[in-house]
This record gives sequence, structure tokens and C-alpha cells, in this order.
Amino acid sequence: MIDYSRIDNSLDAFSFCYSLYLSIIYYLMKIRIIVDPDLCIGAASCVTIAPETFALNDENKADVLDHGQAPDGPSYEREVEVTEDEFEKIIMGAQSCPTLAIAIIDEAGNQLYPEA
Amino acid sequence: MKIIIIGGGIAGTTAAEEIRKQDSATQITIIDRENYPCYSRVLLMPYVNDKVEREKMILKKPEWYTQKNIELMSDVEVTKIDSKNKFVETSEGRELPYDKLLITAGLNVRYTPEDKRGVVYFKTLDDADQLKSLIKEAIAQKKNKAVIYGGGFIAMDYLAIFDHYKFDTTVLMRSGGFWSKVLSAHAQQVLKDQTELKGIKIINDVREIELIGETELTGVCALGQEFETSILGVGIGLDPDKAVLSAAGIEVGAGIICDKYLQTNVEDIYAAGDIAEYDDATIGRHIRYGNWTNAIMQGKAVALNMVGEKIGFSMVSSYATNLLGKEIVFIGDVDRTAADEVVQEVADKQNSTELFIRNKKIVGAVIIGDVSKRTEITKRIQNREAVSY
Repeated sequence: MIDYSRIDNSLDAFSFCYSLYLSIIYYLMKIRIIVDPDLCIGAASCVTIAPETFALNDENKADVLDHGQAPDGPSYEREVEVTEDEFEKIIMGAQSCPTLAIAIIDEAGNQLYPEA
Repeated sequence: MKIIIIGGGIAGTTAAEEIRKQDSATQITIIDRENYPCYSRVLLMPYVNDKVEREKMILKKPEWYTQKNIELMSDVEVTKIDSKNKFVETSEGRELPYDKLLITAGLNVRYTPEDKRGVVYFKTLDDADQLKSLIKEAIAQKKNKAVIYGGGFIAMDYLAIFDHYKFDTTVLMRSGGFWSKVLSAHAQQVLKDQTELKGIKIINDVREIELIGETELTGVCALGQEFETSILGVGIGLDPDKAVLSAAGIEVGAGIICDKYLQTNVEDIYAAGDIAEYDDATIGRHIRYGNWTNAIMQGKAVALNMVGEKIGFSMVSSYATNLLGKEIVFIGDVDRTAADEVVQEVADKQNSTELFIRNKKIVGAVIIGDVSKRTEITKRIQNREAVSY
């Protein structure tokens, strides 16, 4: 007879190991991205470098996206989980801003850019 | 390998950073005529308006250059490029050899024929410091009048500044309106209405101006009329430094002519940023853009090509500014003389959208007022969308 509960357990164990494996190879980090609409002038360098994270809105200012999406509507601020590659792109997008309108803050609350 | 970069603005600095990312051994030297590390020119206007601190404008601290092992020679001009023997001569009398040379020197402002204390230009941090001190001085002496000479992007910055300080402002334009070679009559009217709303005086078709005052500016004379002012903000165009470039055999048009790889006609010499007039595949001709995003993206692209890759640069470039609150966006190729047709897509009292068509494709656009279609139009240009106007 097949013991289904054991299969379930082993599946759980498998999915646990698999998600652990995924989080190791795609190490995810949580960051907060904030655009200051008073500083943003619509130069759109962030949009060019990190289009999955920044998009111009009707006011000609950069909205923050979560992987191309805007859950709960448009916003100038968002917490997103990103891979290291994605993080690098977002930082480059922030660094490219000629008015320093984009701030990036890590999970511990440290401002990664611009340097305080 | 030795790489010399002439010009330490955002294009040259981005290129240096990207070259260093690719290769830790290359010797990189940036030669810059100004006396500062890389700073944001886009912040000059907010800086004059006391909205941003001076040190915040500096994007790269001196330590950054040390950490990245990039030599920055400030306050030095390149006086000669010997492209045959591959070295540059500097204003200090040094001869610096290169294997590859990148020119990101930007353009030089066009000056008025005469000068007096009170005449300012608006390109560098020193210019911004000068303008700021003249404004404070004028306010202390209860002189609150300003004159602007020119009707392009720099005029927008001067207007924002003089409006912020509540100066009584007159704009002297050499033509019939703002960007008269680019905009339709309707678009120019929308901008004119905006200036009238804000109480700005506009004088058109000014061919020449005369400065009044002994040593210090007290007024400007144009078309027989005298305009009292202690400050004249000039923004009448930019030109490449033709003498040095042409002597090196580098082909120069409105900028340095280069191919889609940002390589000039001279071997091992590249150009990027405001000075590069490059072959843009998206719009199908050579074009020069003078904006921040373009300079960054070209800096990255040229760096990769200089270290051995072969990446054709293509980007739908755009300029965003505003005239005292009225949004203005130029996208792609907006040369009216190079367009087959210009279609006025939106024309109402507050707004104007013009599409520039060539070979039945949209190659450029100017949006004034409601700019919500900016992303959509940019994509249409990017996708080389065929149109049937």
C-alpha cells in the first residue's frame, strides 16, 4: 500500500529544498525605491537603464514599478524583491539620474544611494 | 593600453567607469578644462535657485577617481591632437601618448561680440556661481530686471531662475519665436501664451544687440529699444572646437562625425556625448543630441567598443524641459528641414503635439503641455512604425 502522507512529506521536503536552492542561486534582496517627484524632471535615464523598475507617468515623472507591474496603482515609492543583477541595474538607474531624484534603501533602513 | 579621454563630463566619466569595469589594467586619463570632478549640469538651475547645495551637485568625489584608478587632470586643455603619432598636447605643454582616444569634450558656447560685467553664459558650475552672485548683488541693490538673449533650452533655465527671484524679465530672440526652426506656428503660440501669462516680455527678430554701460552692464539695446538690466543671460547656441579637431584630420559637421560604433574617421579616435554626430540606425541619418541620458548611454556604448566589442549605438533620445510650468518634450529627430512632413497631431489652446515624418516613418516628435503620450510616441519611433499621413 502506498503511504500518501509520506509522499506529501517528501514533496514538502523537495519543495523546501528547491526553494532554498532557488534562493541561493537567485539571492533575493528587499529594497525600497523612492522617487522624489519634486526633483524628477523626466530626463528618463532611469527608464532607459531599468525599464522594469521605472516608467514615466502622465506628469512626466518616473513612477516606481515592481518587475514591470504597478500593483495597487502607480506610486513614487515601492518595496521590491530583486536579484543581484536586477539590483545592479536599479542602482545604475538611480546613479544615472541627473537630479539625484532616486533613493535606494536596504532592508535595514540604510540609504544605499545617494550616499548620505 | 593607454586611453585618454578629453572631457570629464558625464559621457567621459561614464566611459571611464565602464572601461575600468571591463579591464583593470588599462591606463585611463581624463583631461578636463574645468576645475571640478564630474558634476550634474542638470542641477545648475536648481543650484542657482538655492534648491540644491553646491556639494550635492558633485557626482564623483575625488576619492572615486583614486579607487577606480582613473587619473583626472583638471583645469587642463588639449591644445593639439597628433593623430599620426598618437599623442595629445596640453595647455601645460605636456605631450601625452595614447593608444585610443575618446573625445567627450562637449561643445563651446557662442559668445556675444562684446563683453561687460553682468553678461553671463550658462554651461558650467563657474557660470552658475557667477550668475548666482550677480543675482544676489542685483537684489541687494534693488535692481530686479533681467534680459535673456536666445530662445532655446538655456532660455528655459534662465526663465525659471529669473522667475524664482521675481525679476522683471525680457527675452530677446533672434528669430520669430521659441525654437522657431523646430516648432510649428501653433506650438510657438502655445509657448508665447505661457510667457504672456507669466508677464514675460518677448522681443523677436533681434539680429544684434548692443551692451550699455561703462564697465558694468546697465542695459541692452535691441531694435532701437533700450532695456535696463544689470544681468544679460546669453544662450545663443553651441559649436564644436573645430580648430583642434580639424587639424587632427577629424571630420567635423555640427559635431564630430562618427559611425554607429561612435568611431570617427581617424583610427583609434572615438567620440561620445554632446559632441558626437553619430549614424543613428533608428532615424536613418547622422544626428547630434545634447542631453544627459544620451551622454550616459553613449559613454557606456563607446567604452565597450573601445575595449574590443562592436556594438552599434541606437537610442531614441529625448529632451525634457518646461517653460515656467508648461511641459516641453523633444523626442528623436526634430529637424524640420530633414523631415518629409510634420503632422500637427494635437493643436488646442494649451497643448501641441507634432510628429516628424521621414520615409513614411515617425522619426521625431515635439510635445508641449499634456505629455502623457511621451512613452507611446517614443515606442512608435523606436519600432520604426510606418504611418500613412
